Amino acid sequence: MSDVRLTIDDREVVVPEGTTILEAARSVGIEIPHFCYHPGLSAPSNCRMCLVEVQGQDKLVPSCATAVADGMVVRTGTPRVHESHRSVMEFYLSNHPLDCPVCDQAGECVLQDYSYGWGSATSRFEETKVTQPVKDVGPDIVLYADRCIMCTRCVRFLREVSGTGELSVIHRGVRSEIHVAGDRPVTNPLAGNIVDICPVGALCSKDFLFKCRVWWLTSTASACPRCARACSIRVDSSEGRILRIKPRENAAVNGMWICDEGRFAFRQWHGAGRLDVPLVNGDRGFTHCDWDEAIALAARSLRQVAMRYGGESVAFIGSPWATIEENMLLARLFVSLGATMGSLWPAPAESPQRFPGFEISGEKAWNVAGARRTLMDVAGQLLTLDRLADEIERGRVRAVYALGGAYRGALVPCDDLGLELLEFFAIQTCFVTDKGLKANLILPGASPYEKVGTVRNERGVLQEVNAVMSPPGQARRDWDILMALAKALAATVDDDLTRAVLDRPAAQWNYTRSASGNE
Amino acid sequence: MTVELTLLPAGTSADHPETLDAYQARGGYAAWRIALGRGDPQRVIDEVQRSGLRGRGGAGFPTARKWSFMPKDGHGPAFVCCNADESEPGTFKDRRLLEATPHQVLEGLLLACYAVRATCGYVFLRWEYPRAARAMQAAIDEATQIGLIGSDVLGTGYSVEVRLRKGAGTYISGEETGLLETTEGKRGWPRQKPPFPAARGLFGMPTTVNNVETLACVPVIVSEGGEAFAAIGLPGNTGPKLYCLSGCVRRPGLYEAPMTVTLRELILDDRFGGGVADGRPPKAVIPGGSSAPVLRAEEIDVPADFDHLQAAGSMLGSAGVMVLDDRTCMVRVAANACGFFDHESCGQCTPCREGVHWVRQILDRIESGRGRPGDADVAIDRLDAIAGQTICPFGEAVAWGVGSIIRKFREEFDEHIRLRGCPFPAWGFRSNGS
Repeated sequence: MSDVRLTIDDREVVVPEGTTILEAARSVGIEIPHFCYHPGLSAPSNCRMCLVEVQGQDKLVPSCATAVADGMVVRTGTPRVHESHRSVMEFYLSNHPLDCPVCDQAGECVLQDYSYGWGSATSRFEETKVTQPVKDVGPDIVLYADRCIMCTRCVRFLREVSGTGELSVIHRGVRSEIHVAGDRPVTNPLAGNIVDICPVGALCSKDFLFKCRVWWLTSTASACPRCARACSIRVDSSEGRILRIKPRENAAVNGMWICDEGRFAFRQWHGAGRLDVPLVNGDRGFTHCDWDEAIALAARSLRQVAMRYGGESVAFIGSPWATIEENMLLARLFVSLGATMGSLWPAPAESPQRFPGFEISGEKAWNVAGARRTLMDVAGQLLTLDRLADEIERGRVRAVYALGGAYRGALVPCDDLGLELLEFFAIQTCFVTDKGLKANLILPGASPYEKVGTVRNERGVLQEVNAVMSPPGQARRDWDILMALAKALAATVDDDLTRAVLDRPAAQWNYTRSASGNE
Repeated sequence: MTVELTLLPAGTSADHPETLDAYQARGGYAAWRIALGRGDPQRVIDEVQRSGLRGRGGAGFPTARKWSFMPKDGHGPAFVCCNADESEPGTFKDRRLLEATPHQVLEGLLLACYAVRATCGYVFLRWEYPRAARAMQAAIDEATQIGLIGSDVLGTGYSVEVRLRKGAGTYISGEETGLLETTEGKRGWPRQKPPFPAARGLFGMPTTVNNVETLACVPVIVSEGGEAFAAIGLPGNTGPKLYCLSGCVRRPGLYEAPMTVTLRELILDDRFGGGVADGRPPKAVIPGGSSAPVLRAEEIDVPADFDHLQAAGSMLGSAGVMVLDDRTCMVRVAANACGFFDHESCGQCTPCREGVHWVRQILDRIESGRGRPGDADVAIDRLDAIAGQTICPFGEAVAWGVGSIIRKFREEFDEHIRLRGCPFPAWGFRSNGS
């Protein structure tokens, strides 16, 4: 496609043919106010907020639906344009309930923001406002129809991205209303996105409703652990608790959306059943022990096996829930002990879910690709679990040390591994239920929301992971546990190792701004 | 045989749709055969160009020029839609054509299809015209049966289908692009233009939308020649025209006249309205349906054509001529019109959705005696803020139609506010109930 040269507010802009005025302006940092336009959806130009002046045209034109043309002269800040913005805002606010003090969206509301720019402190509207109901539109979504500005972003999302079409517009004129058919609530796996893209407080998440004013939230950029796509996310937390998760725009990973599984995945790692003390398996079954004891036991057992049967009799298993760094440290530590055999827990497999504008991966862990590549790099080879079971059965492997960290209920497939034949098996993981692993030692590790590092998704994109909170109780980040073990194993970890691990390929991080709200 | 240059041929009646035989007996489908026989679609366009035919739906756009926008080298489907969604208050001309002479409309549609090389013609009919629907469907069936519609029509190699679609009862489906959406089976929400229908119309394909009366003019233009049509009226405003006369007039009804006729003649002349009802003096005339700006009584000595009415600050629009006498409350007229538009605003875009309802409430308040000083100014300001800001021309329709009443009869609005009530008897304005 050829380039088009135009002028926006006296600035020369060059954009590809077919670009809209709004997007061309945005590319040089000129923000044209808008409600209905969303970069991930079609542009119906119904809000009329983005009208701008184009030289030679009598009427103002909707910048979201007007393609640029060579030599076009656009003005976004003339008195006429501002008057148009003010006029549209006056229309919007005439029937709006103006209930910002009790509205969840307050603080991140486009209508509220624009009212500072083009609103009025007083109103000429002395008529009766049209009132509309509060409607339940889905298991997690409630519609405050009164606040709705009829931008139809939600309707378009459900038609164009999820392809499910649960919402539509009923009635006409000022009585128009977003409607959900009674027997078809918004239950599709991408539903939560319509709350994100609602520019006002009309569509609210029941999960987040009234929990926190948005300005008290701390936002942390991270990646979603739920599947191998590892969508770019923003984790909003307050006082160490995750309150909601929203997508970050990242063309290389997830575009602008995330799925609801990922949106609520934090619940799968947090709450009841989290392991928060080290557990040692002795004569009386699993009992609590302190960290010094646990690390000493691990070091002693591993050293004994290595001395008796040789370093190659110690094997390690990496985890697709652990970061690249954690897997790398695991592998280098055990290779330095003489280990030659390593493996990787497979991620739970489901069918991928495809939608017109999104796809959810069927591999249910974020760092499958990163873990595999890292372990291969360090160990030179990676055994399948079947091969490892074979080696255990033949008595060539006598001790195994594993990273875990799966979400609640996702048991690693170890039944056929022959763990009972081992002299020592230890695992770093998140849930007490993993006691079923018949390990000698279970060490409480961190959830994906509690660690720092890097993951590589199924498309090979590297992303930074950031900790939102600390691990619960005595649980530790897996990196710290491995470092403690390394130290106990007589410091075979040299400076090079930590440096190699910590020298993350930051330049390759694909890390962009948030995709929620009006961006 | 000479074909009558009229849209209301003798012997036809809305009570009995003209049959195929009757239509052919008075020269019907001769034009269709002539055009197909010539084998050149461009000649249809040229003939219509010579006739000076302008669109009868409201905007008065030259028909031949509209057709010329259609791609000449298209290979895929292309469409012509006959806009039979006649919904403008005070307008009932298309209904007569559809109910009395459906074949004439159909032949016009076929000629239009041929002219723009369309593969299918759609008749989009308002839901409220069931008789017209029956008549039109019967006409389509009859013409199909004898091979005037279908594949390889009369052995010429040209194939065309005609389909009837009915709306669900909304004014906005008569707007060109709202019509396309509704015909596609969607909600009648107008589209932002460009792209124009000739580039991307029905189902994304090149499409022309023509009014019923426009199409009804085409057969006679093709069979008798464009010059014969152009001989009626003045250049730029040619051909026979239907006028829908309603309101405070002695003989309301549908009349045909050349566009040289003045509004005053339409109202007072015995061939037409025969005078204002009850011998009252006229106060105002809305010449082209509720969307057309109102004219005061002293402004009606103007030919009821496209150009003169535009010069007079109004428009011919749908030629729905509504006569208001001196007992009519203009506040009530404005409130009534605005109430209609409030009811019919599709709600898609903000200024129209919010603004029309706002102004309607203001006007209702003034009429019911709860007006406040400044109300009329706010109403005008808000109407002006709708015009030019909306996706479709509905915004202008409200702003110009209702706005003109407030501007031209401001003294009545001020009086209502001063008196805290309406000084006119309640029966002053007879709504036609559209």
